[in-house]
Amino acid sequence: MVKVIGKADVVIVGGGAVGTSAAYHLAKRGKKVVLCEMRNIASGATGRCGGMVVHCYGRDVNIDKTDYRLMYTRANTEIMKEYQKTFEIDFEFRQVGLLDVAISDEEVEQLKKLIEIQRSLGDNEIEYLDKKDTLEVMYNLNPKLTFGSRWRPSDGNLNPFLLARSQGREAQKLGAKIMTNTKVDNIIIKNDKVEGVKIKDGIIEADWVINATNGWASQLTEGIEVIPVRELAMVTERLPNLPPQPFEMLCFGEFAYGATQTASGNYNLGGPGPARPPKWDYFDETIYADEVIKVLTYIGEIFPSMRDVAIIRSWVGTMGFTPDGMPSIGPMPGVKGLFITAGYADGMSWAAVSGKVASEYICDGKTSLPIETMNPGRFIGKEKFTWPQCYDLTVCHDYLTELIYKGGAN
Amino acid sequence: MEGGVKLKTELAVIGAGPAGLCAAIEAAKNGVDVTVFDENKKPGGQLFKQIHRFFGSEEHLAGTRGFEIGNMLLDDAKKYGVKVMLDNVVWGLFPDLKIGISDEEKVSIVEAQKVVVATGAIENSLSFPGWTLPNIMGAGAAQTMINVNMVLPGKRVITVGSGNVGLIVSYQLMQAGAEVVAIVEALDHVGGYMVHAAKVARMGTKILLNHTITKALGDKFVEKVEVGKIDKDFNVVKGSEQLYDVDLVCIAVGLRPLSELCWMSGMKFDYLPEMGGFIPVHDNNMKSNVPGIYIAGDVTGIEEASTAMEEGKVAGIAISQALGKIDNKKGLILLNEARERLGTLRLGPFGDFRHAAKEKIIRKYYSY
Amino acid sequence: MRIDNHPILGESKKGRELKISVDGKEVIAYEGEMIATALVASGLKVFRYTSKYKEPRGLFCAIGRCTDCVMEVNGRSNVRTCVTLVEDRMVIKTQKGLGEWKEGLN
Repeated sequence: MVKVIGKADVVIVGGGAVGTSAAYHLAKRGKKVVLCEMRNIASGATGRCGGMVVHCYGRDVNIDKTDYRLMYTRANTEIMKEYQKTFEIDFEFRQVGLLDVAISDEEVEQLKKLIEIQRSLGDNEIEYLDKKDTLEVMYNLNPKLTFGSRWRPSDGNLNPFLLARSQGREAQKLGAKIMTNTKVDNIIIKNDKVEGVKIKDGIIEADWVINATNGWASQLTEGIEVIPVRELAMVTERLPNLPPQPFEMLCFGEFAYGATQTASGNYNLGGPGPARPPKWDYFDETIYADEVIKVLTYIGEIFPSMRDVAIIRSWVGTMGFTPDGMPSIGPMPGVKGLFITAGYADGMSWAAVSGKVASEYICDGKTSLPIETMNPGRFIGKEKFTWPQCYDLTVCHDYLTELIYKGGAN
Repeated sequence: MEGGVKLKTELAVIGAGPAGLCAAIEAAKNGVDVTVFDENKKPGGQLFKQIHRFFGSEEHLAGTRGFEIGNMLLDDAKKYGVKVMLDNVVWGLFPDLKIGISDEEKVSIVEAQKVVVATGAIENSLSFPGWTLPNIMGAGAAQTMINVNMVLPGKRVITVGSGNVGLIVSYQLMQAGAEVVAIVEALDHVGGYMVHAAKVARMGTKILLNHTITKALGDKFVEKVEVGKIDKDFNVVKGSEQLYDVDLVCIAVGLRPLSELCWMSGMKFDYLPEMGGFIPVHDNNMKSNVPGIYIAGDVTGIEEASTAMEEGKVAGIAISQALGKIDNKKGLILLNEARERLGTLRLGPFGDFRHAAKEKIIRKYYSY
Repeated sequence: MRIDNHPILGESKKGRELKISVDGKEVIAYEGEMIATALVASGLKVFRYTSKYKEPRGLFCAIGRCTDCVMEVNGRSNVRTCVTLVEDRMVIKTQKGLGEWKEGLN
């Protein structure tokens, strides 16, 4: 007979930026919150990403939802600014702007089309910069690989560890309990109603359970189609202020390589991991030598003056994608008391607002922002998801290699 | 920076200090194709700053100075065809035995059938107010400057720590022309060999037992230190503080293994403070838990150059056997001889605890 | 201070004489030695100042592992002087914080 070891109003599974945000906003509304994190705070994508804040990354996969996305990400930025007024731990949120660089003429054309769509859907900040202007904003880019870029001045970056810790700390001050090294084996559902969660020591009963486990979300809740994606990242020694703009390089209109300078001066660099389905283990956090070399090679081509710079550490992490590029936020259809907030590939732009929305739904039964588009059950019964070619590393690398070694821009 | 495979070798040894070179030489003697990589511009690890005569038996090169042993090893390495690649930084050791390497030109990969990690150790530091002031440095650092680089960083010195490193470096600083005013020791007895302690005491150095540094003072660099007596609970006895004028402070409070590559490759560890802290475990043949990767020397626990050399030999012989270059019978004979020499080195009051620690390490290896 | 004659090691063997500049001042160095050696020989103790609290730092480990001895060398910051060889006419500066890299890092 399994013991009941505790009772809460809400149990949150997952202690990243999204989970701790929900903990804070719910605790603020007076709910008794317990957060269960299988490892440590920010040990998933939150602690392995570049910390970029991207209001609208406007990729082919979700450009048609630009207006919807901006509604959320703009609200997210406002909430983070509110945090900064009172939160004890500063999370280094800096709106230094973001560049999406096109490395060929074809990419420029794609980019211009995307910008048109973005503008038409309410993004009045997005700008096209030609080669000359791009290089003025970020002078350490390789001119041979810079054809043009998309520039968004209010984007930027933050320290994801500190964001999660900051929200977590405030949640604790308001009475939330955070349990690390506490894996949730399963969410207990009886007669289509949530009863609680099962952890090693027993059961924690709860009226509501929030699945905020991102890359692991589909393991915990069937049918929500969060696709784990493995990425490699690395960090350099501290460098004096180079252009601090976070930057992402396009490949087939999608993210290929990215870089961002943190508040302490280190450069975070990242790139796509190995080819994904069907052979790879998406949760494999081992670093492989040839992956590191590949990412280093391309970063060296993009920022030639960085070849001298020391890389001090590299790591691998698992993010969560969804088939339509939008996160899943909302109650799980068919189950009472189960709320999903997962599928974030750019979680830092959503974490703060997602927690607020979760707390609104759970406390008031309605949210200040519309959530139907992000219904977690929207993929049930749909065709099996297949990978777009842009996420296949081999294709990406071959394409980039060709472009780079063919001579690039003049 | 192109990546790709820089070279393939049967045995890759990481670290050209006494452990690494001995492993390389033993393996090369048996026909293994060996390449040694070292990030420094000169090989030999810490051997070249040891200007004192080593102790031990004749077969342990008693009476020979460290740097002379270093030269002998380099000669042997050359004689047996060991390739030593200097200025090559090993930045990665992967569980599949691939080695990430960086040289003048590019970042690439080395492929090897067997690997020996012999990356040695680094000095610990000690925190006290003012500890970051310039000219407060590791004792080993001062030793490098005077014995290898022939420059003296200061003339009036206080050393913290009376283990062999603290005693020997103090003596060597005086040989180089400095005055070592005192050696400060927190415990109630000298940590190192009495013969070294007697030497420095004869030269006028005060050995202050039950004392510690309470603070260092100076504007841009250290100018004075305050030393106080401590009670049995390591609390400073009020009123016992004394100021000393110094221009150099040497911190000799132990070493810890440089084990980043071990962690990265997935080796299992145990915590043994008496050996320097977190120690990667190994079996009787210096083999780690990661198939194909062996470890030797200070990275497996802080000891001495002589044990580093013998451990390197054990690894080299075991690897020769594993690669089929020598038959099991011959291998066993050579291994037993090397292990016996190791045992002898760990006799006596200064060796007993290390012998016990190594037994612990080997037991832990088998428990994983 | 240089040790020209050591009781065990004998006379120090020096390479060809080179001239390097340290914060604008000319310092003698010898080919084959590390930058830190020439600096210690000239009596230098402060190699850099930290970013946040502007504290002075100098040599600590002398084997290229702790990065306390980094200085700006020929325009490049974060150079570990204890493991970098001197070159003729090298320009060395006390590093303030992370230094300054102009126009990329060349």
